Amino acid sequence: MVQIQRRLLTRSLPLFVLAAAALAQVPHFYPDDPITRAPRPLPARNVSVQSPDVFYDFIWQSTRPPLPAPRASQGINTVGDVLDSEWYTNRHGRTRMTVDELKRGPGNSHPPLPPFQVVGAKTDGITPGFRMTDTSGRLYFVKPDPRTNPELATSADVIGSRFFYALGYNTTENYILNLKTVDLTISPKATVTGINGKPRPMRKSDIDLTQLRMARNADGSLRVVASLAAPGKPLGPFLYEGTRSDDPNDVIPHEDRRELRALRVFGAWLNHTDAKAQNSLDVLAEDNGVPYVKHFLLDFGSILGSDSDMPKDARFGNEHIVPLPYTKVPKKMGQLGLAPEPWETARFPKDRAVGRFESKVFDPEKWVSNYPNPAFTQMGLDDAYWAAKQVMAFTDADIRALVETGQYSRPETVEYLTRTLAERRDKIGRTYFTRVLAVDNFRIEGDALRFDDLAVRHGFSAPREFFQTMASQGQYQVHRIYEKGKPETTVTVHVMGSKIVGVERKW
Amino acid sequence: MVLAGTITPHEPPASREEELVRAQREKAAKVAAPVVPRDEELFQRYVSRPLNSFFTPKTGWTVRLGGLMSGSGFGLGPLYSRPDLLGERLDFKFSLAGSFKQYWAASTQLSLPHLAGDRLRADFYARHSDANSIDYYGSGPNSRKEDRTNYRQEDSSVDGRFSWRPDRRTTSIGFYGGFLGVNVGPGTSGERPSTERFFTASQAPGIHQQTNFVRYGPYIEYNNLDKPGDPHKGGNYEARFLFFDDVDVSRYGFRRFDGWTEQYIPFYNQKRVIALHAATNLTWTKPGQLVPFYLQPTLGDSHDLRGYARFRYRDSNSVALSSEYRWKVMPGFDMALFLDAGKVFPKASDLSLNNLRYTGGFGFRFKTRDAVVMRIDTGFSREGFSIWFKFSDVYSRDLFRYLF
Repeated sequence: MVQIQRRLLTRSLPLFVLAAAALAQVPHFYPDDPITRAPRPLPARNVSVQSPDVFYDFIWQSTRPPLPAPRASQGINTVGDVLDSEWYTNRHGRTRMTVDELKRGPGNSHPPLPPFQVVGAKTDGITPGFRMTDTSGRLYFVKPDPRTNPELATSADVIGSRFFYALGYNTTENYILNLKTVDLTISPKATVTGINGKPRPMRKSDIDLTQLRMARNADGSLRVVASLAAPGKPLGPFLYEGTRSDDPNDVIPHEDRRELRALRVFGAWLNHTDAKAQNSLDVLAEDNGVPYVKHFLLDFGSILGSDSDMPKDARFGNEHIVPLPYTKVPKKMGQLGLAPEPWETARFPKDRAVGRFESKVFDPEKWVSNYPNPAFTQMGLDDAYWAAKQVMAFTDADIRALVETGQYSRPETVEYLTRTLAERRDKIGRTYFTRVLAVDNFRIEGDALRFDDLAVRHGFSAPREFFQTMASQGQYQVHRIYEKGKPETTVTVHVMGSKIVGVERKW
Repeated sequence: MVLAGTITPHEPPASREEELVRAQREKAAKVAAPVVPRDEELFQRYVSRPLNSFFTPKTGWTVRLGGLMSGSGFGLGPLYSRPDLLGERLDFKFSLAGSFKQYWAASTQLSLPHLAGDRLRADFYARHSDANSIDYYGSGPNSRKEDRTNYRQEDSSVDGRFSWRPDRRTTSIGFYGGFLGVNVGPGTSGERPSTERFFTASQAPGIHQQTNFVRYGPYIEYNNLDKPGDPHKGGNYEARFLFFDDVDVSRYGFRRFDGWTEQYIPFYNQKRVIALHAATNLTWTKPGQLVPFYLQPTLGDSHDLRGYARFRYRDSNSVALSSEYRWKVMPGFDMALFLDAGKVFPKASDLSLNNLRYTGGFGFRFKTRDAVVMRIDTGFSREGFSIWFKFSDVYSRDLFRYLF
């Protein structure tokens, strides 16, 4: 608990008069503020499948003019928290999940059970793989590790689905499976794109050729990740910009959604450099007979040090594929490669299951996805602060538990990834908790407003002295908090009775 | 909870939830099927689909780029490709290629690439080519730049190659055999003299009397390059030993050893690469036999002694060394500084690293994720400079590249 000095409002009086006038014109809060969940979705009856052009998305996002200045985040309540919705569910950041819940992630009640039947080749992405059903008829998308890096991509995919689930997103159930070829049969209806570009019946030799590119276990089995198909009718990926025109519940431009903006911070933490539309999925789900569009994040084989079919390029996470600004190109030509970027000299472990993942060069504010993501470029400090709070909710033990779901064969791998993720987490916390006034967890104790200084709590700052002013605005008490010597950085808390109804931050 | 049906639109919302429900209802009143934006639609029509079509494997008639010997200029022609025969177990190709320099070639290939679970492979080739102006400066390390001549060469060959790949990945051991018929005639360049008018038969063995060969021998290859089209680490080592038996005039029979090594040493997280390359071609003849000038190894090309003109040096034996320092400028674009060395020499026993010729230069490399698609190298030597446009990586190449 921080020390608070109380003063009567004196110098800030004009400001509060203006604020009061504004409040008199437009109700600032509703009686139900702060809500925690978006309204129940309206029926989405005429939604269709979207297939945005992957290449176009890359070219357009890499070369487009800058977006206008970011608007205020939406999809949040009056205290700045993201609402539970078809996009997002507050989980570990709101109420700590148990270790078992963290490990369970989106669910572990449907592990694939042999015998398996291959029903077709994998059609998306660059990693070889196939689709198969298990004895219960459930559909799984199966992907291997690159032959040179056993455990690299399969573990990343499983760990990623659990991390992002705990962070609040909808993810699919991912399972690591040691597949024996005797358990595999090929469906007579299975097809694959032939060498002539046309579909043809799948053959055993197709599986054999795919296996040539896969890592094998010592017993000859193939380690793969099996992703359970998302429940519902697939509608194609969602875009990180605009809204779906056919979804009545999609009313907030995606680039303004705090949970999508904040994905930049989560992506930085977990090195999800391939966060793009193609790695998402909308499905037509149903709740009590009401069809609605539910939004999933997919395919985490390119997080941590993995790039799905190879170790991650050291550039990824540090520079876009198309470098910005372009003026760097002639400079780099002239430098003859003699002025390496920090990430070019970063040290990575020799562990092939880790790939290229480190914490020393990592800078949360400089981290970038492979190409610009409009929601990421619109992220503001308030979005990043909220995201940092979610990240800091993970203890070392939480991280270790999630890393262990990757089923690494070497304890050293778990140790390294746990330590690295903890160090990256702390860098994120240190960055954003010191850039803003990181006071939070507001509550009324007696007649006093209490709060925590998150920067101090996590050891990123020495104890600080705060000033707090209070004024009455109709039925609200308005508390203004600022650090000694920094009156321009404030947090304003609106209180009605003992209820915190609003928090406004000014950076 | 406020039910959507109870909301009166013109009154201010009474709650946050009501406000949000109103927004949903407003959207519900104007939902519409998604429309692909005009610019994306145009991009799909004129960029994505043509590119997809270009990179999708083709069967039947398509276009072949290249396929002619070095110095032909840009080669282009029809290609008939059927890799899908016998359930994709038999690959048949036939192509015609020509260039503005009036080089041309007709080639056919029949391959069984997936025998014995991909451990065995068989290839059969037949080819006829006509190169009407190949440079010849005379044989030996001291040939003179001003002695540049040109000759015409017609090749007809039928070959077979059988490979065993014990691990199905890195190692290939095999046997190669075939027939090669060569005709040499006056070059068509009007700018430089024809070879037979400038050099005698003793200076250019075989200039007046061509023959046919049966060629055969074993080969071995070990390749653990990370990406064969754009290697950053690993190596490629090839060796073959071929007998060339003169089946017509019994004057030009010889044995030939071809060795080829590449090694790549990455640093700075593979954003810098030192590429090393060494190659040698050694020949032996029985007493009274000669290696015809048109089958002598050459130096001076896009991958060795890049500062010299194409085929600048030629003799019965050669050794070439090369090194490159490459740095990544941006994804898809590398630059390189290189140093080449090499020499030709008359007897295999003269193999040494003395009296080498040297060239240095720089290059630009344009790449996809997995391969170099174009490079522009500029090499400098004591005889001037040369600029090379190529559509492949500098060293990675197949010893059997001119069979199809």
